[in-house]
Amino acid sequence: MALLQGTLDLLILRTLLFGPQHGHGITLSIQRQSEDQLLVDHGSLYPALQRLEDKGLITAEWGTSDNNRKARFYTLTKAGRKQLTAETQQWKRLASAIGRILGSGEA
Amino acid sequence: MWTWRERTDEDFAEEIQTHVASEMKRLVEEEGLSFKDAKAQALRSFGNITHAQERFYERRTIAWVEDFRRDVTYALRSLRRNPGFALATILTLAIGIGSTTAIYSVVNAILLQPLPFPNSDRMVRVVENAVGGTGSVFQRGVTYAQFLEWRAHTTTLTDAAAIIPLFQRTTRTSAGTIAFSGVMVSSNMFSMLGTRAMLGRTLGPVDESNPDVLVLSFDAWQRIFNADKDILGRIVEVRSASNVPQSAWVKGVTPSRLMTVVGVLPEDFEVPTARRNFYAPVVLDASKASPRVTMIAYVKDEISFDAATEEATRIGTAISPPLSGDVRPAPGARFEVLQLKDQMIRQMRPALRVLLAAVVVVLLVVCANVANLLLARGRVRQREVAIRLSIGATRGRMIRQMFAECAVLAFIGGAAGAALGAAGVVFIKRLATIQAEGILRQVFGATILPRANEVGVDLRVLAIAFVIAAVTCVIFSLFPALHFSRASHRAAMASRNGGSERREGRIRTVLAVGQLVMATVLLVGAGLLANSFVKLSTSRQAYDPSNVLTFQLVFPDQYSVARKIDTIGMLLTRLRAAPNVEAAGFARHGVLIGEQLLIGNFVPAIRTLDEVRKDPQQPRVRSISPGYMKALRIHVVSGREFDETDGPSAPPAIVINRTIAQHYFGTRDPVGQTIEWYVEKQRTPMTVIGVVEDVRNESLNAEVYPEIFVDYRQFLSLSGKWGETVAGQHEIILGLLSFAVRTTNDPASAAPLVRQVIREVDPSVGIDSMLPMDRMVANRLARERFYAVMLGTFAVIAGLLATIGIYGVLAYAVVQRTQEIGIRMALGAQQREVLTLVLRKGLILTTVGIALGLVGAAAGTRLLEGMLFGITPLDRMTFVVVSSIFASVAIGACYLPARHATSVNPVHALRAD
Repeated sequence: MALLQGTLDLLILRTLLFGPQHGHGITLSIQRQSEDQLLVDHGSLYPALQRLEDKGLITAEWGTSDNNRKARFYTLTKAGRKQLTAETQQWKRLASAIGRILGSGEA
Repeated sequence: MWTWRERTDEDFAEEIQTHVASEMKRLVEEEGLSFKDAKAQALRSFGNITHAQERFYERRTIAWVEDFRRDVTYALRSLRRNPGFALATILTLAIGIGSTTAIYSVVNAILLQPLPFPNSDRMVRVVENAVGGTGSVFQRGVTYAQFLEWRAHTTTLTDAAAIIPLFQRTTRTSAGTIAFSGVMVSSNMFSMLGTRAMLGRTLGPVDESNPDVLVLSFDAWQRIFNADKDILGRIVEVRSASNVPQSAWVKGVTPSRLMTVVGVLPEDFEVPTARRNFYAPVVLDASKASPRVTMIAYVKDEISFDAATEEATRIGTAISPPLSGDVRPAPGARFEVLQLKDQMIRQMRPALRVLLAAVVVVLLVVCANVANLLLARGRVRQREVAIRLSIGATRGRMIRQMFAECAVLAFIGGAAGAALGAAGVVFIKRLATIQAEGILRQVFGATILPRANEVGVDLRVLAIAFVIAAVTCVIFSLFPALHFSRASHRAAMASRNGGSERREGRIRTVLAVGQLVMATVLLVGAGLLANSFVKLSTSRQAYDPSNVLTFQLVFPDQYSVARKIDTIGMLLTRLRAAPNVEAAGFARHGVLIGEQLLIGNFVPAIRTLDEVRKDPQQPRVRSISPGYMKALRIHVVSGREFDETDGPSAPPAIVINRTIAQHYFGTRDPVGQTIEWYVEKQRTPMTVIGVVEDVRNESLNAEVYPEIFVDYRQFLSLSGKWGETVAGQHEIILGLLSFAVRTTNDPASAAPLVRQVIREVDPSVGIDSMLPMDRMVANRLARERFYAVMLGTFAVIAGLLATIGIYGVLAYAVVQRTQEIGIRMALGAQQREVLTLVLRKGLILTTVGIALGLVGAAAGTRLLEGMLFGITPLDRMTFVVVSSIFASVAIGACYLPARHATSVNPVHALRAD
């Protein structure tokens, strides 16, 4: 299942809530947490990361990964945390609203 | 926020590499894929890496800035590949921008701000118009008495001040006695002009009670007092030299005054209408007639100049006696209020307008040339552009690229133009400066252009010129670009002869012809000025200025006429005996200074006194010494010049010039004839001892008039006989003593020797403006040289650009028709026919351009009227010579591409796409 437009940013922020992570780690984390339901297009991940970095929601610095590779680690900023809260709530409202519409149709 | 600035493409690529490697490892370890498959899948899952990078890149930066930087780099590279094109365009732009800036900077400054005073637009001079004895209208200042009344009664003027010239003052310095010129100014003048002293103070009302003070001009302070910082309080002896006219400031017989220096004026200060060494308070001798003054004033803001003139006539008529004697009223208003600014620039305004017009034409030619170059380049690049468009470049991208290229050209051209403009201003200033000092400074002026020393590069003008050039660049480099975008690029790649190409060819042809027209107009104008200049400078003057040292001698005021004559006699004897001196003599107001005196009537035996009185050809009288003609090599047509035998007791003799000789005696030889000189009821028979060539006295192109020379010693005894006053004798016989010394070596090197001789004869005698005669001639030509050089420079630039223009059009036509030419040659056309084919087009264009240019010139050169000497604005010779030279240069330029066409190899030409 491909990601809905605009949800990738939210998922990245959510993933980073548990601590700094590099790009590949973020991909795996999203896939695993969604139980492989969601597949991240590796190609669109990095522009999204860059976008978030530009907005100041995350910061990045070079570090070493578990398997001793040089990797760029992303960290949630204070603004990112705020944004995550706001967007999560908004998403939940949206999801429940859509759920109600779809649910009523199904019932 | 701007963190992207720190991230490079490499940084990003590295991150992606890490990602791909991690994914590969995961695939191998967790999903058991082979290394090869893992790599493929990792890459696949990533999508298109380049694409990601590109998206990163687009996000990374404000795209167009980056694009622009890249475009500029690309443009620089492509310009470096076409150095000819780049250099031609940049040079053309630089010349256009530079010359426009220089000329406009100078002319603007002069026409708009010729006076360094606040509110100078409202500053006026009050003058009286009258008709003199010789029938010529002249303007003179009002008298000091009138000025005082005026100031009391005027309602249209504010702040009136009077300036009274002091002639022939000297002072003693360590270098000997030198001329020291000054003016008396009313006490309010400096405050009126808003002048502050550079050192000390200016003059004010406090000085009216203690007038023995003076303020030095910056120039005098530097030159005479060696820029002495401790000059304030110094006592300077100001001697009044001989024959002080009208403005006798000296009470009684005091020969000199001791005056305290109280201030030094700033460098840019100049009293309107005069340059002087010093300024002093007004002191007048009440027993003498009130002197004429320069009356300057401001017209009140709400009052028109006409209203001020009206009032001037009313007040002036009420307070002045009716005109009497030789002076008659002039037609029109007797008193007039003249704008000072207008007065200063009136004489040069037509010439400056011509220069402005010329520089506009040059700018037009420049723009046409740049347009032509860019169009040609656009055409050459058409295929490159078409290819790039077809492999995916966007139109916007291509236009941006063109824009970058012309921005680069305009920028470099503009910078070079600014430098050229600055150099041009320096050059113009130097060309406009006249190297003369002392009395000559008053005769010639220090510069052709007022305030030229203050002119700098006008940045606004520079900006305007730059914008014009840049806009031209943009229009003509985008024109082909827009056209590419519109046309199918496939068509552009395939065909070479689109209709658009023909249209563009027409534009380029029109531009080239236009250039030819404008250049022809300028060249003809410059040709006329050059021709006139050559005529003027080689005009056969009756004298030979080379190897002559000239100077003016200034005597102390208390010297009697007899003492002066003794001193002169001694001086001449000593000078003639000095080494390297061939001849020495003097004339009253000599060559190139000149002043005409009419004294009595000269009646030859065949005429009556009444006839002579009515004769419009009134001979002028000039007092000279023996040796003067020889020193200047004035040709003696018949008889001889004066020599030592023509002393006071010898029979009265005269030398006459050719004009009067012909007028009185026709073809007969006048030598030995008698002419009666009637002055004040006295009649003296004078024997003609020689006839000399006509000398143009005032300037190189002055009119020739009948002239009679009298030996100064005989003049003195004759004037005593008819009862001339002592002051009159000083004035008419000695006046300004212009000495001429002919040397066998460089006259400049003889100057110290001459100074020494004078000091030995009499250390109290002052010397003014000693310089070689040919420099004096050069000074007299300075204005004409200035105009000729300026217009000539522009014309040559325009001519060159136009030649390049026509060359470009033809060269391009040949490239375009290479195939056709190839076919013709393959079918057996001879080289000569091919040559004719191309040359015909060039000939037609050149002929049309130059012919139209000549028509334009015929209409335009009328502007030059009044600047020409010895030729009319339609001088046929100049028109023919200039146009044929220009035509041959242009046709020569056409020959090069034509010649190239004949070398076309038919096989190559046909194979070429």
